[in-house]
Amino acid sequence: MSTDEFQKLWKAYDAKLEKTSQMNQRLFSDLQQQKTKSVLQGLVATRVFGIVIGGMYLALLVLALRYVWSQPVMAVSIGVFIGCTVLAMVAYIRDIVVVRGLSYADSVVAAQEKLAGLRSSIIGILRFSWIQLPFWATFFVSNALLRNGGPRFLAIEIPIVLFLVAVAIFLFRNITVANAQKKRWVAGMIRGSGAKSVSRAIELLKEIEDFKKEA
Amino acid sequence: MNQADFLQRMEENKGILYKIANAYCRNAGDREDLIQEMIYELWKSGERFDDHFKFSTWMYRIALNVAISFYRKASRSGLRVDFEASLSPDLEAGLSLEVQTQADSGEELEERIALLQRFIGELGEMDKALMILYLEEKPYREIAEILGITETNVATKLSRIRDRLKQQFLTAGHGDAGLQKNKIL
Repeated sequence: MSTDEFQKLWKAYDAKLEKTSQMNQRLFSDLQQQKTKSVLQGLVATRVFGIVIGGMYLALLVLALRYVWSQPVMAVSIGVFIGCTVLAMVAYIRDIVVVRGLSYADSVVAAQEKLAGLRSSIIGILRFSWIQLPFWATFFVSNALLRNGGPRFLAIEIPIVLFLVAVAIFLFRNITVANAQKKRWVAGMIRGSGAKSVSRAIELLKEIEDFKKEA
Repeated sequence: MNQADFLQRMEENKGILYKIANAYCRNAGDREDLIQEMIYELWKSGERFDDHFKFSTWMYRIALNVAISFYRKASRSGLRVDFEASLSPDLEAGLSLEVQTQADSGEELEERIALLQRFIGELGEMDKALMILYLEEKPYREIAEILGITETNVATKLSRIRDRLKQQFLTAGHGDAGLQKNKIL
């Protein structure tokens, strides 16, 4: 590889850099006290927080399920909430396993692909969480309400449930990594879920995809 | 790798960290954090460093991976600042891990370096990594190994980026003649 003008300019820039920092013992005591907070630690912390909160929510749901066991509609609804919460927790645990196995000493493409994948995994969790939407309209339907509600109750309840089923299917199909870049409302929902870095991660995934392509 | 070896190797190669930090983090305040994070990850990964590996390959991989991740972290918290706005202070940055320019340099040379930095700053994350490695005069084989793509891909992409940069230099009124005038060529 021949040295060209950019490399010469870069050398001139290198010569002008004054590197005053000393790699000394103080640096080591800082490192050992872990004053530096790594990005990976941050990722693990959010997942651990999610698992702890999810665990508490799950415990409440299991208690509720025991209480409403004899009420089929309520039991099925709470069962779906439990299923979705377990799925989210499994996804978070999987993320932690991936972070533990991630090494910055891997090639840049491999490490960044994993990292960006982790950051965009929230999309999958968000997507599945919408499956439970129709059950928010059924979890309070007790046997007594079914017996005594009559046609008026069913005339209100059934259209609402059908509407929420349609919304859930629509959201499940549309909340995808690809749509997060194409559709503004999907991007808005992802940002709203607290994962502000997701859109950057998606951009990077796309960039990596292009980068790997042989011209 | 023991502490003494690590410190010595960091001392010898710290220029790499400064240049990568400058390219990926335009905010002077955040740059110190980025360099600290790079050193932290290098030390942490040092236990697993395989002597069969080339040290610089390993170091570039870790530094670039940390820098790319850090860039997104800074963006997320809204700390990333506009490149243009931070360009001049960057050349005279006063940090505890300082990267300072010497005052006696020619104005035009400064301008060209600033232009080169700006153009690099405008590249995508992966292209930026590729360009830094190229500017560091790494062989294609090593660039391919650090980035995890093929040598052919390295050559093709570099050719395109260089052409684009040349074009940008020309548009900015700094063609080859200008470079020669400044005794860079």
